[in-house]
Amino acid sequence: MKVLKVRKVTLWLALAGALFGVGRLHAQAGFQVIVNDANAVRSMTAAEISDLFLRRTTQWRDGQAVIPVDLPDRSPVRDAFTVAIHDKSTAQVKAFWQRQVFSGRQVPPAEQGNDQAVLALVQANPHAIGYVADGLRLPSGVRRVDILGGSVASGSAHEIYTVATVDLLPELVSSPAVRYPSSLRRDRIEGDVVLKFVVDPSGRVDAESIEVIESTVGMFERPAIDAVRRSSYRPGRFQGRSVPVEVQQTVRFRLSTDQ
Amino acid sequence: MKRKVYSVLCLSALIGITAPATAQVDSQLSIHGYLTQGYGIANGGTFLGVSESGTGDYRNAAMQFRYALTDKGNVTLQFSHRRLGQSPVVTDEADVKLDWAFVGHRFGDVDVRIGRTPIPAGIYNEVRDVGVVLPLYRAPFNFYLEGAFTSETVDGVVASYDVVPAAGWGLEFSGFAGGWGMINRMTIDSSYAGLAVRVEQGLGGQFWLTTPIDGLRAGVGASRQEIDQGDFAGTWKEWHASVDGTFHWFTARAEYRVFDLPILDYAAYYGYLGLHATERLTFHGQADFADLEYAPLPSVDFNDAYTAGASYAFQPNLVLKGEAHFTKGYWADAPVIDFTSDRPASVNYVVISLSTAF
Repeated sequence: MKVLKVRKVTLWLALAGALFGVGRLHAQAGFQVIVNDANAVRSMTAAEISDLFLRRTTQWRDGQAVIPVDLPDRSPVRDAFTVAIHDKSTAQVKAFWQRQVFSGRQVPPAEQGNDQAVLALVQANPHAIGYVADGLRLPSGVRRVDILGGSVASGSAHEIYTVATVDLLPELVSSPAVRYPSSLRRDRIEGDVVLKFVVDPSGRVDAESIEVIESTVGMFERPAIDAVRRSSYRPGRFQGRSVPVEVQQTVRFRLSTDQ
Repeated sequence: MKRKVYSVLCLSALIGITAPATAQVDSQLSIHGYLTQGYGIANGGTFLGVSESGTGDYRNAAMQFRYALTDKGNVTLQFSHRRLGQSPVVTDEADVKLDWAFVGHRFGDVDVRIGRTPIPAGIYNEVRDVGVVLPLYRAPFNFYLEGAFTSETVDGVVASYDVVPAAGWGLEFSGFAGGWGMINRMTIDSSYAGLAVRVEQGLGGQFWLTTPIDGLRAGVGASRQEIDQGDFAGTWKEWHASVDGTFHWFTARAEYRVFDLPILDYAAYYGYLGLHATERLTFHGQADFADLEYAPLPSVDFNDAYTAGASYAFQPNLVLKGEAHFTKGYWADAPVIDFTSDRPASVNYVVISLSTAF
């Protein structure tokens, strides 16, 4: 009798756990994005990966259909991927797909049951893209994709463009006032900082891509990076689409204008 | 008895389909569905089938089958089932009807769907029966007019085009053309009845502007249609404007709509606020109004509705809702009243519902 009661209690707890999501209190997980080795793509921004998994981009650059593969929505790896790539929770992305499906527009990527199933599918299909737990050993025929950063879901290209390869260069729309270091102002020191960074397809600067190429005075670097990071651009375009473009910009510090 | 059998079937389906479905990646066929089962009870009359004696014969369900012909094309069928208690607007509605049947294809940046296709209009029209998407049991009634005078689908063509005009901005244009069947609610011999009419030469479009503020968008749309039967025969014109903000802690929405009919003008507008107390628990408040211009009468305050409710999402695809509606006006099924001579009726009702989808 006691055993039966314990079983009943366990059953109710399991049911409550399933309903209220108790079982979803997972530890933080990492992920790696993978493609078939035959795929020419070596790196992508988070925004580009997001577009593939939300089916805003449906073809690779060679015209082949993209086959995105998801893990189940209870997977902690999927939670980590969703937050990092889509900048949304798994529940928010599920809500997005419910709206897409039941307005007749799109259906979500197919789900595979676990990492091994995702690996097997990507290994077998040159047009597939998936993600698995970080640190998982990849079999032959499957390659990790470097994530270049950026979390804004827009754009469609699969590589970073240069100013020489786009049809239209990114154009600065707005930038904040640059902070002039007070000690350098007091000592009347001027200078320049040359930065390299990626303007993503939404026109925002990918903060992780900012790199100092040249600087006359080290103390100018931080305010220059801060200013660039908060600038917004009209995105670069290639074949009619907004694309991520790597650009260089010189931030000048002059006492007359504080720039 | 028949209704009871349906209820049992629906509840069985509710339990069955809450299990996560996993499609095969090499399969071209995807199957999705949704179900909302509600119970409603009213005070002071009957509102859209919710009576003073209460009803559990209240649900929406659909099964959708989508077959990918190519990576750019698909054919989609959706079958639906709807019950609104004893409301006259569903008296002649089939228990299961063909909701959608269309062929879709993407030409560059343009999506084209031909057949019986959801009409893009406002925030909710395409998903107005999908409980897991709607914050309350139904889309705001004065605005979307569930069951009468409007349609969720067009038999014709729908095209949509997305463009990114500037950094952080997005623009979506949707247009539709074709005809559809719908119910016009009439008063006959001191009771309400639904008159099935056919709309032809329906034509409309909608713009949505997505702003750089994540979650905020605004839209405008308009349509026209020809009806050749009943008291409302003639050319109908309609336009609407929408603002939709979905943020981490709250969701705020407002829409305004005007119907310009041959014999009257109908304006509806609502504001909605949802406070996300946690990721799963949301509190809802809504104020939804309708005004009527019917010459030579002065402007009629046709219906005012206030709603308060709460929803709890056990999972994204399993949502429990409870809501109380306070209405005053002329939209109630009972008492049957005439807006040209009678005072408005106050009918309050409560709906508890459980929604799922897969």
